[in-house]
Amino acid sequence: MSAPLLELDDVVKRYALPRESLRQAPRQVVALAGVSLAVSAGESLGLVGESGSGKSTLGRIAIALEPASSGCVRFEGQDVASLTAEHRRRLRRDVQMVFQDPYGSLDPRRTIGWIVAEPLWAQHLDRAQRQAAVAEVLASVGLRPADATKYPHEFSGGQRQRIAVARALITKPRLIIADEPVSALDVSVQAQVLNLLEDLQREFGVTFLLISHDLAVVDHVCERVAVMYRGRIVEEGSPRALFQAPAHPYTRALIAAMPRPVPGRRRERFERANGTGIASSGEGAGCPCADRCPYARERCRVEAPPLREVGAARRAACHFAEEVQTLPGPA
Amino acid sequence: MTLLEVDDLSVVLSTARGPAKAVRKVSFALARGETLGVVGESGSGKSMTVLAMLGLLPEGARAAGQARFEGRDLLSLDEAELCRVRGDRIGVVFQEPMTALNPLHSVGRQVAETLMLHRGMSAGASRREAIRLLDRVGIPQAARRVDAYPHQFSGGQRQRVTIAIALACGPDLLIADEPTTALDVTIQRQILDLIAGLVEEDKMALILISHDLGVIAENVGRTLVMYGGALVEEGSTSEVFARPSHPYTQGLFRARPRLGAGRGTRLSTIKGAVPELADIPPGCPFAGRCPLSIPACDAALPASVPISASHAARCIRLDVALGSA
Amino acid sequence: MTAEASFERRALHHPSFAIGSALVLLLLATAAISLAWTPWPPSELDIPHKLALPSAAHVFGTDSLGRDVASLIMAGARNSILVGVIAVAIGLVAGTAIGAIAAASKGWVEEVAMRISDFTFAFPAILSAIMLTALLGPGIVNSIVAIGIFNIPVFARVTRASANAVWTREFILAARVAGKNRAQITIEHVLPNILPVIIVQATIQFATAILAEAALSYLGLGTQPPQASWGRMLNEAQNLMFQAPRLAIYPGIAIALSVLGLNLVGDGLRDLLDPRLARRR
Repeated sequence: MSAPLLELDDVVKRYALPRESLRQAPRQVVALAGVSLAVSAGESLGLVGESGSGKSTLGRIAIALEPASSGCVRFEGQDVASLTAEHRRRLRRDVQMVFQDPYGSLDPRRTIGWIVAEPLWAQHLDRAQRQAAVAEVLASVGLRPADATKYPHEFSGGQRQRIAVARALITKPRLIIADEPVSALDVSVQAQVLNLLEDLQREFGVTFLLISHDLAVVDHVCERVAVMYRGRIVEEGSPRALFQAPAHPYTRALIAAMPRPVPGRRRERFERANGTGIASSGEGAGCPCADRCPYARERCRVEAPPLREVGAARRAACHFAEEVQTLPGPA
Repeated sequence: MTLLEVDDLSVVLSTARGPAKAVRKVSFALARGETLGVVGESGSGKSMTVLAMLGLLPEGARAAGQARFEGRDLLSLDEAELCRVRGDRIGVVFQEPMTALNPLHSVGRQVAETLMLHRGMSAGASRREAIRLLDRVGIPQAARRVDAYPHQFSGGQRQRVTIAIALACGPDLLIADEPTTALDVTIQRQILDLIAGLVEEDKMALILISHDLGVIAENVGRTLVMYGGALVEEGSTSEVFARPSHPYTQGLFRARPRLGAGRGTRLSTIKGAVPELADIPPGCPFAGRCPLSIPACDAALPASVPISASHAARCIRLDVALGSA
Repeated sequence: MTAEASFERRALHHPSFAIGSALVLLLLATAAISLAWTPWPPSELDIPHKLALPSAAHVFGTDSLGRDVASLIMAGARNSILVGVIAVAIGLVAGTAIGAIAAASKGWVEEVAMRISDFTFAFPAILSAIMLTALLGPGIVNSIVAIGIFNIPVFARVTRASANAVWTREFILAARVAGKNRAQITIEHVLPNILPVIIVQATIQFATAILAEAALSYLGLGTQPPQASWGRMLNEAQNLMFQAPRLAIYPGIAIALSVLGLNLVGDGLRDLLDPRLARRR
């Protein structure tokens, strides 16, 4: 196997909370508690989790928008924290991002042409080259070259997200990180953008890191999925294997909680008792899921399970992964 | 027995581009104890329909038609009479629990206020009742948490508090407008279970508004599908989901990514985008995006065509639509 | 197609903006005409005809030294605009720069910049102007500088607050992903997006500056004779308050209408430049 395109090695990210008292040191939240992950070229990896799971933080660290508190992020084998100016420019060209909010991610005072060409600013192109690049990339997302002179408010949400995708494509990047690219869109429009992402992957062989809270979206676009919970990856594998026989109770709960258009479906609950529901990032011993997990046993409270192999190309962070896998399907 | 009867309800909004029909002649009835879902995308008019019933329309909006609740037309009530119905006979839960609660008052006080206002309870009695209600909606250690403030609760718990407020006076009708859209899936599941349980125990009627077909399917007995301000399809949930009939409903079902469909399966799309309210065609609102549309679709809003005793759709090409399904 | 109603059409339908701009246009026109023509030379003394009542020759009458009041008002308009424009320009350029840098840099730079502006804010405008003119001596240039300095923290605060809001938007993240640095982002994204707020503030500060200049001249610290100034006209009228109250009324009305007009324009612009009202989402 070739070296991974993007590699995260035990990445930890802590944020300081605002000081509550002058005498105490500010409290910290742990957004990422040691995440290791590899994305190889041409692959599409989905990152699934609920709010506060750290999935968006991971995306931002992967693209070097924020530094990791500890651990290492490597792009093409180079540590992104210590890049030379030349390599940093290359990184800015080779990794692009698509954001969640198609209304917030386009500057309302700039034309579409300007916005789409923005990632090219460091490459000294003349006007004609720039216009040609914009026209080409707009065409590849199904917009007309004439749209380049319009402003964002003249487009619908779905079209805006196409524009955001066009902006990410213009540098011909090797990796695109898409953070909830369809969750702000209406269902009838989501499908257009999802199909577009798939087409781009096929046509250009772009590597995708798709961050989403929606399992179905990830299942549609990705060949590999990582499930995150409280700053950790709790399970990783192919969507098919993962969704048919989840090896981690949290994955199981996520799948079970997903509403499906089947009238009167039976439900399973993850929460045993009335959990507080507050995502505390307690760094105690034991499994971070132990207080919510219906299968938790004594061992879970004293010993944190490592992310380990539980099958072919399959990892899970549960002491009883093999047992969980054999439970009847969550759906 | 009919609890709510909505008749030809229309809402006209004034927008920057002139008046726009946000709700077009919507009629439906709801019996005591019945659960009704309204599904639609942004701009479908699903929220406007209930806001009109509650007299909570934004400034510059006008409502026409009737909405009879226990025989009284809500649209003809004055503000004082409406206030007595809202929060008392009709409980409402909105999408954003943080903005629905006053950050400066303890949650107990906010639950108790409703009771003092509508039931004339004393401060002590309403506080005891508030604790009981908070306990009932699953706030752990309700007696201790009653004096806590909204920011001390998680998103899911805040939504539980707004449900407690909605339930305080034992309403006959609970309206939940996208109650879980701001929440995570696992929390969403808990809140929906809670609402379903409470509705069943208290024999309330429920109107659940959502953009999510899954949420609707699992929680209500009857479903209305709205698009562009019009009610395009209605029926028992099992029939609508087993046999979506309006081309829009069909498109919506096909466009939704399904878990387990796997990679590479292409989603069928609905062409175009949800139109601006002011751009909605005068005839069938879906005509501009519909694969089956013919010139006659633009003539007038189609009449409701029955498919079975408890299932109907507004489409003049229903024969073709049903054939292709 | 865009859903925008044209700016001009909306402007005409906005009552306070329409009234305000009429007043401001009147002020500007008066000042412009005074450059080329006034009924009498504004500083020409004519002691024999002092304190003349309004007549065909002197529309507003003459003052205690026989100067034509109408001409003084016209020349005073010019003076007010001169002071207002320069003082606002000083405040706008320096204040916007400080505010934008504070918002872009965060951390201690922001703290220091904003604490300094808090400190200047703690002194009332007129007090700091008096201190400054006391230090540097009275005169129009010093009063412009004093008013300008007072404007700096006003613009710094407004800029920082709105720039901070822009910095949280996702298109800023997109620009960072494109590899742009904070200075580039400030110039290309932040400033264009907060421009409406700054324009509104500039209009309102213009009104404040006219008031401040009048006050300083009234105290004898601003514009010096023979330059015409509304504030000094008020000062001179004070001694004749009971013999010739009209001498105080004319400059008083001129100041009031200018300030009112600018404030109405500011309020109107605040509505008109709000993209939420102009556009669909």
